Amino acid sequence: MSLLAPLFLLGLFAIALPLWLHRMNYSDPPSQPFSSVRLMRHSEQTASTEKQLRYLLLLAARILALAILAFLFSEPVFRTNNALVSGTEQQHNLIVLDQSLSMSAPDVWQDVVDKAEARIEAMQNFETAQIIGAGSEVSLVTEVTADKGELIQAISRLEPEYVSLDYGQLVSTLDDIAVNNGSSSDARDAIPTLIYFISDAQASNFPVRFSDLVPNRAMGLELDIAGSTTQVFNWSVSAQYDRDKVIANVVSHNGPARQMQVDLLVNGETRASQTLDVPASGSAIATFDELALELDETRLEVRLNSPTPDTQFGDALIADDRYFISANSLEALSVLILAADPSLQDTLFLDTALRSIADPSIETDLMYGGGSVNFAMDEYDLVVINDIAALSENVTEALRTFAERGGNLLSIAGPLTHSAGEFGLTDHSFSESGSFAANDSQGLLVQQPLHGSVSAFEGAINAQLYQPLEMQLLEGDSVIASTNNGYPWLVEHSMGLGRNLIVAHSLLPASTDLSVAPEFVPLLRSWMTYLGGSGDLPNEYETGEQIQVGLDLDQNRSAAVQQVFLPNGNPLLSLSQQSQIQGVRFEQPGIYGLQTARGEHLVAVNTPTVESDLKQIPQALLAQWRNLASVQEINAVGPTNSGSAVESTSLKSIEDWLLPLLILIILIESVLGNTHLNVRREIVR
Amino acid sequence: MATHLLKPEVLQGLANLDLIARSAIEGFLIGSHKSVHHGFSQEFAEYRAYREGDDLRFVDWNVFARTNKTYLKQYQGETNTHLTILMDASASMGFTSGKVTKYEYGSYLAASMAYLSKRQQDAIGLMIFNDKVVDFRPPTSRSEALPSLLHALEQSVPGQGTDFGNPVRDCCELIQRAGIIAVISDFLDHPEQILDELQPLRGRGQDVILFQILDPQELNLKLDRAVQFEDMESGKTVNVDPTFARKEYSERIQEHIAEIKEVANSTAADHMVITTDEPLDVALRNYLLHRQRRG
Repeated sequence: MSLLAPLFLLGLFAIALPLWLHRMNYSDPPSQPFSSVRLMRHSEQTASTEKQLRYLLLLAARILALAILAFLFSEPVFRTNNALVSGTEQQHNLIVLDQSLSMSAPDVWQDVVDKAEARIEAMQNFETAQIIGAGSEVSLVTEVTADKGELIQAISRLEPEYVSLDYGQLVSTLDDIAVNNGSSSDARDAIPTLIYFISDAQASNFPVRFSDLVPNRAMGLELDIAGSTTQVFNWSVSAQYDRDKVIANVVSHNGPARQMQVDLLVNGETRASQTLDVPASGSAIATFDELALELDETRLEVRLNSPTPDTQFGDALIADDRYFISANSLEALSVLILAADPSLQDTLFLDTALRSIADPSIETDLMYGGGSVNFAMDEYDLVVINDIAALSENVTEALRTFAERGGNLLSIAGPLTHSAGEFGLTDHSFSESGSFAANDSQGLLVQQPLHGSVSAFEGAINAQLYQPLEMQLLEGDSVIASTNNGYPWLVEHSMGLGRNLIVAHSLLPASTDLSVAPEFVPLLRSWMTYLGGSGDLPNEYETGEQIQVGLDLDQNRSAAVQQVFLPNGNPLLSLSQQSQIQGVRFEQPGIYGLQTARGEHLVAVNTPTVESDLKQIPQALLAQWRNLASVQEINAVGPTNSGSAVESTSLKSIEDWLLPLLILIILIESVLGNTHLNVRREIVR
Repeated sequence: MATHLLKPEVLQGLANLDLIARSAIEGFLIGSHKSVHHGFSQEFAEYRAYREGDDLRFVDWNVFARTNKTYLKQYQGETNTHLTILMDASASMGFTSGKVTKYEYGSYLAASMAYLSKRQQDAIGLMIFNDKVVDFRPPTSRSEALPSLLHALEQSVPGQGTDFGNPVRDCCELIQRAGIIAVISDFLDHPEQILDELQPLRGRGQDVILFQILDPQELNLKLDRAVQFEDMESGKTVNVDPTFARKEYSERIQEHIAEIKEVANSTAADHMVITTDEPLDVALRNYLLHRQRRG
């Protein structure tokens, strides 16, 4: 039996606690005189023995529970011998190449390729293989084949990527692949599969649990370390942008003390440089302040250079010498207000309230909605219609096109709607209820508290409506808020790719107190944020991360990002690719442009910082990994002993046995402990 | 009501045993609806023929006048016997779970019986013992007998072990006349041993009554947690948990009491269990019944 995480055995020291509690902390009960103990003596022996036995059982249960717990954490496994390979049987090899960023260190990748090719050349007639690339995702580069040429050719298609790798996740995925290939330790007639993993054994790629490194279902794993055994140095840079200031942090990973030059590039041009003395295996900070960036100066890059170009740099990784920053300025939300009468009180209130919103800042244009279309609607992020019955046919048509292309609308009923009762854009009809007296009022009730347009109001909007309109709902309408008597007040209506929030009541002070209530501006802000959309995208990603991109025309929905522009400015998705929502991975570092409903949003994509530290897994740990994960010694160059059966060892966890045992012991402990408590509770009745 | 004086904790508050005994007896008599001043000792019992040496004051001259024969009026109070109290003063008698120790209670009982007997003109004697005889006052009807006896009771302190052998042996040697022997003890020793030690009293015409004085906690041991008990006589310690105290001990003490009763039966003695929280009248009434039976 072996332990995968023997350090957890230190948990056995916890046994000292119950021992101390039971034995060391033991004291006789308080003594008191009694006339004669003659009648107690014999029974006392029985009671005492029974009590002592129970006491010892309780102690044993507690010690055992703690021991099993510590033992479970140390992950005990049994080795079982299996006849693995004979000359007449097959063997399958999963040749896995680590493609993480650290593999791009000098000579490492070439070594990986050489080792893989040597392994392929050493394959026997009964062996098949598959090439697997372990980069941003674990990908099968070839199908199962015995064709060495095809395998070697596949290797030439692989190269290091700008991503990090978790060895635990990798082994788990490989295990699944082994099962899918028909190899299982449970199926004796399945093809035995061996994982041959070529990697630099980077310490930062080590998983949290050591046991994750041991394949459960594949027959074993052979680890082949690529790269130089001599010490390699690496320096990396990361940075932070804070208003007019960039703070760059240069880290020496195992490198000697040396001078480094840090350049700040704005839109690709060097803006400032600083020389830093970076201590050995330490870090140094360069601050670039008072940048006073222009609005279009949004693409920043911090670059690490050698101050003297002719000096041997000795930096193992080049990719982490650049750090990208997106200096997105918060663009104002551009809103077009189409009003029946721009001079009316409700329109003035609306315009003033919108302009007073700071986050997002809003720029409004106020236009007459009842005339011809003499404005470019596509230039606006969204359109607010005040009095929906006042729109001319031309404007209605333009709005319809705007909405179907993904533009969002806020449509508010006004005095004209109250009298006309129709909304030509959506065919909704409104009617005034005859049952209300002139001074009757209705409160508002939020029907969908989680809806983005009202989620900030915790279910209540404190406002009164006088003589509310009853809006006839159409198919697909979603009532977000209603009056107390059940009339829809705020309704979401889809129009093509666009959203239309309909407010079924006038904002005139004669019709509601909402426009003068404290809730008015926050409510408008909430609607603008909801309809303006896509303001929550982060500015930074790591290479290998994914985002959702595209439009789903069938489902009538769109992701926050419709298109991605690569650092070189080229669009990532073709038009046909844009017609479905899909995950897009950032493969390379740089500044990407994300096309959203509000325009282009820049994101900086940088290499994972964990890849910069090239320290190798300690030899002792590596030896343990090899010892536990390898099933047989397979020489990467020499052939496997063919023609005779080869004994292999597989590991079997005893977790499945220990867990029920632990539960049983905990139950026993509870019962015994409870009995003890019962005795203590036997107070005079 | 004067009967409240019979309660041990009330008696304990009185100054000395003499007062305690008086209070107890008067309380008892009032409780029994008897007149203190015209007590039972004046009640006519029988006539008997005059013998030489009899007090002429008791000759019934009316009968003499009618029959010319001298008869003496015999009253109940004059059927004098003697009472010897064997008082256990071993260490276990010093136990109490309340205010009154078993020894104190036994002393009250002994004093009350002595007082009662003295009023009946009986001779009273006392032997205080533990594992040996500590004090012995032979039975006498002299007037100073009672104060002497009460003094002896007051002066004794519980201590040492229990051995009935010595006092019983001494009793057999020193008390030749038949009478009442009241043994006041907790009788917590082995019943077989007690039987052996009390056996000599049998067949000597002695009327024996065993008063087994127990503390309420000895009868009904209740614990809220495990306790280590230390034997007051042997010093041995025993750990006792509440379960045992609640179940087994109470069975065992009842068995023991039954065994002591058996011992009493086999020695033709009466046996009475009294707890230190009970009023004295029960014990006194029992004693009187005994006394009456003896005549």
